[in-house]
Amino acid sequence: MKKTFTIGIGGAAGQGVATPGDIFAKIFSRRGLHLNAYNAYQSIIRGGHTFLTIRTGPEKVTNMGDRIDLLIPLNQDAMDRHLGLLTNGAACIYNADTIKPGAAAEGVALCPLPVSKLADISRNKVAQNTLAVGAGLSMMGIGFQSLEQVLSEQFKKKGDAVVSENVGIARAGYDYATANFKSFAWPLPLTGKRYAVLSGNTAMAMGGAAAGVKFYCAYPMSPSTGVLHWMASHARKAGIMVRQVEDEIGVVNMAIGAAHAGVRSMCATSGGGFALMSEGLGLSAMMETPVVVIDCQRAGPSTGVPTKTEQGDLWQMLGAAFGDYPRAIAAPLDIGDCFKIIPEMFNIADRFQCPGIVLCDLLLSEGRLSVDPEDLDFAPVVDRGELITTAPADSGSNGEGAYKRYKFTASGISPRAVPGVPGHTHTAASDEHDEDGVLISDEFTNPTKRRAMMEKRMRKVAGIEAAVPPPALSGPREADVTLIGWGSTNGVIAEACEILNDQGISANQLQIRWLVPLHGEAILNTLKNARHTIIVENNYSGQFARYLRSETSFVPNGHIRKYDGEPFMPHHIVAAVKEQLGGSVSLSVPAHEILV
Amino acid sequence: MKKLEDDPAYNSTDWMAAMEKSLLWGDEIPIGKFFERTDLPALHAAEPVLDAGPLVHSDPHIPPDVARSFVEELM
Amino acid sequence: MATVLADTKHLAMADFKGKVDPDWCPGCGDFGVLAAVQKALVDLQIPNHNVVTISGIGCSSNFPGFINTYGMHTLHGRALAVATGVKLANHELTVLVTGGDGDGFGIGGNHFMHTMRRNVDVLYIVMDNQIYGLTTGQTSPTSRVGMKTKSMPFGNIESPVNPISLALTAGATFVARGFSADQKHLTELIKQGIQHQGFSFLTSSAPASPTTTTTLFNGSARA
Repeated sequence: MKKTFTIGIGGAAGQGVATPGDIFAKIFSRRGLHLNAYNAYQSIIRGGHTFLTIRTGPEKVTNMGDRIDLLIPLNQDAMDRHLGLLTNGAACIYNADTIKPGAAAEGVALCPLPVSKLADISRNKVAQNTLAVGAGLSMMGIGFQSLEQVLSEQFKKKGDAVVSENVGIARAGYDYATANFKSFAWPLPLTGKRYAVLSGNTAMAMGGAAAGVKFYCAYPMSPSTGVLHWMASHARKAGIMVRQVEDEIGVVNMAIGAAHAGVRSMCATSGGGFALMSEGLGLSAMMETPVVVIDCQRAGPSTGVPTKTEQGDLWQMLGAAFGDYPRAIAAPLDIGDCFKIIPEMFNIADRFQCPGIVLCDLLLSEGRLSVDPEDLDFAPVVDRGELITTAPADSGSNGEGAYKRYKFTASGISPRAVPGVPGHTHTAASDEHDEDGVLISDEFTNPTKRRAMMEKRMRKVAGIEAAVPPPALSGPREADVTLIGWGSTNGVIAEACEILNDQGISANQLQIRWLVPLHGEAILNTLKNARHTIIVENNYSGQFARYLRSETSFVPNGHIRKYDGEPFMPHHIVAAVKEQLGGSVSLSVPAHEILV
Repeated sequence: MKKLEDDPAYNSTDWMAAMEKSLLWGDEIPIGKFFERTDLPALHAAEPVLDAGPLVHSDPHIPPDVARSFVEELM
Repeated sequence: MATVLADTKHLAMADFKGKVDPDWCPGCGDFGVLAAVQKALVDLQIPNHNVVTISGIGCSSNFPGFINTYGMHTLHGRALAVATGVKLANHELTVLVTGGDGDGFGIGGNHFMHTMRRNVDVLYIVMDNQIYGLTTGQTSPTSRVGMKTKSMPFGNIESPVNPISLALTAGATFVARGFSADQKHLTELIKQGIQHQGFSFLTSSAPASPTTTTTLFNGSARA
C-alpha cells in the first residue's frame, strides 16, 4: 500500500482556505511529491463551509484517500465538523484563542497555537492561516526554506515589506511547532522530480491549445468556467480567439460557425448549458462540421448542486440532438488525461466530420493533480481529416460535375472544402440534403436520397470504431471481483483494488474511457470469465450500467452508486465489495462521513 | 414609401433623427439609410489576436517557448 | 468589409445563380431581395467563393440554396451566432445573413441584440412580411395588432416590435430599410451595407401579399 499524507483545511468561504492549500501544493510538487487536491465548497461567496483536502506522497496519488493526517480548522465550525474524522497518528493545528477542540480519538495530537502571541492579528487577518502552515511543515519534517521561497513568490507583487511580514509569521509558527509539537511519524520524503499542478479545467484548456484550437467560446457555468478563464488569460500568447457570449445556444452555434470556416473550435459547459446546446450538436452532425464540446458534469437535475460532482449526464449525451448520427463521446480518466483527450477527440471529430463530446466532471474539473511536465505534450499528432483549404484561383464557380460537399464514399467521409476556397461553393444545411448540399425538400422529398444520405453519414460510425481502442482490464487476469467504472472513478477504483488485493480479495478493474464507440463486443469478451462484476458510478440510476445493458445485454452482479455530490473514497468501495461478496446485497450506496 | 435620401435635410449620422424616423409607419413609411456611423471598430478589428490576419490562416502550433511558459506557471 | 476584385474573369449575374430555383410563392418579396443581392455582388465584383450566405429556418432562410456562394442553412434563430463564428474565423470573407421576421426577431431576438452591440461585420437582411410563412401562417413579432392568423384567429392582441428602433437602440452602426418592389434602391442599400465596416442591418419590408396569404392558408405545411 502506498504511503501518503493528507491535510484537511476547513473554514468559511472567504477565510482563505485556498491559499494554504496552494502553498502546500507548491511545496509538495517542488519536493517531487505527487499530490491530489479536492475542494468541497458551497455555491456562495462568503460564509458556509469549505473543506480542502490535499493528499501527497512519492507515488501517484489518484484520489482523496481514506484518512486525514493533519486537520487545520480555521473556524469553530470546521473543528466541530471534522475533528471526529481523525484517528491514531493524526494531528490538529488550531487557533487556541478562538477555537475550542471537542473530544479527539486516542492517539490524535491536539496542537493549539497561541496566535495572538505569535503574530499581530490586528495587522494581518489571515495570520492564523500562515502560522498553521508553518507549524504543519515543521511537523511534516520539511525545511523552512521551501516555505520561505513560496511565500516570497506569493507576496512578491505586494512588496518586500509584506513578504517579510508573512515569512516572519510563518517562521514563528514553524519554530513554535518545532519546540512544542511532536513531528509526524513519517516525515515527507524528497525526490529529485518536479511536477506541474493543475486542475482538469486547466488541463482541458491547455489540451485545446496543444490541439490547435483557435476558437473558444463560452458562457460562464460552474464547474466549467475555469476553462474559459485559462483560455481568456492565455488567448493573446496562444493566438486563440476567445469569446464569452450571450448564452449557450450562441456558444455552440458560434463554435460551429468558426469550425465551418476551418478552425478547430471548442466550448465547455455543464449539464444545464449542454441542454441548450443540444440542437446545435445536431447542426454539427447534419452539416458534418466538426466541433468539440466539453461537459463538466455536476449534481443534477436542473440547477442541482452547482459545486458538487456527479456522473449524471451520460444519458443526456447519448440522447443529445435527437435522430441518428455519428459522434464520439469520451470520459477522461484523470486530470492528466483531461489534457491528452482533447487532441485525440479533435482528431476523431475532424477525420469523421462529426461532433465530439468530452464528458468530464467537477471532481476532475476543479480538483488538482500533480502531472509530470513531460506528459504535457504541446506537439501532439494533429489530423484535420480530408480538409480542402486551397484550390487553383481560376477554379470555376463549381459548375456541373464538379465538387460535391456530401459525395457518397465508401467510408462515408466526404472531402470538406471551407469558405474562401475557389471552385467549391456549396450550401451546408441542417435540412436533409443530397450530395450537392441541395435540400431534398427543394425538389420532392425523395425517400431514396434520404436513405442514401443517412447511410452515408452512418458509414462513418465503423471508421470511428476502428479509430478508437477498446477498454482494457487492469490488474490480475483472474480475480474474485471485477470492478467496472467510467471516467473519473479510475483512480479511486484502482486504489480500492489494491486495498482488496492486500486484504486477500483479488480484484481487477475495467475502466471505460470511450462511451461512444463503446466496443460492446470487446467488453463482453473481457467480462465473460469474470467471477463477480460490480459497476461503480457516481449517479443514482446506474446510468452506465443501463447503457451497457442496452448495448450488450450485460447485467453485472452488483452496483455501487454514490450520488450525494461527494466523490468516492477507497474504503467506500472496499466495504461495498465485501458486503456484496457476502451475498446479502447487490446495490450499495456508501454514505459520506465528511459533512461538507 | 418615402426615401430618406430624397430629403436633403435628413442627416443619417444623427441617431436621434433616425429614432424619430423609425417610429413613422402608416401613411408615410420611410425607406433608405436611416443611420450610419463609421467611428466604431468592427469586432474583428478590435481583436488583437486577429492583427496578424485571418484566424484560419494562422499557425495552430504553440511555439515551444510559449508552451514551456504555460507549464512553468503550474510549477 | 473588404471588397475583393476578381482579377481573372468578370463576374456576371449567371455566376451567382444557385443550384435550384427559388420555391417562394408567386409575388413573394423575397424574389426581389435575391435579385438585388446578386446584382450588388456583381456590381462590387466580389468572387462568389469569398461570400458566405448564412440563414436560419423559414421561407426567407431558404435563400442560401438559391445563390451561388458558400452557404449555411442553419437553425431557427441562430444564423447571427453562426455568422459571428464564421466572420471571426475568417474576417476576409463577405458574410451575408438572411432571414425573416420570426427567425430574426422572435427566436433570434437575443442573438440579434448582442450581434449588433458587438458590431460584427456582417450584412443582416431581414425579409419582413409580418408572418411565419413556412409553417403556413402564424403571428410574428412584427404582426400588427388585430391581424388574424392561424395561431391568433381572433386577432393579435400583442404590440409588434419595431425592428428599426430596436436596431438603433442596440447600437447597430448601419440601419436601413428597403422595399422589395424597388429593386434598384434595394441593390444600392445592399452595396452600402456590404461596404460598411461593422454590423449592417437592412430590413426589406414586404407586407404579405394577397397571393402569399392565399397560398399560405391553402397550402400545406413545410417546415
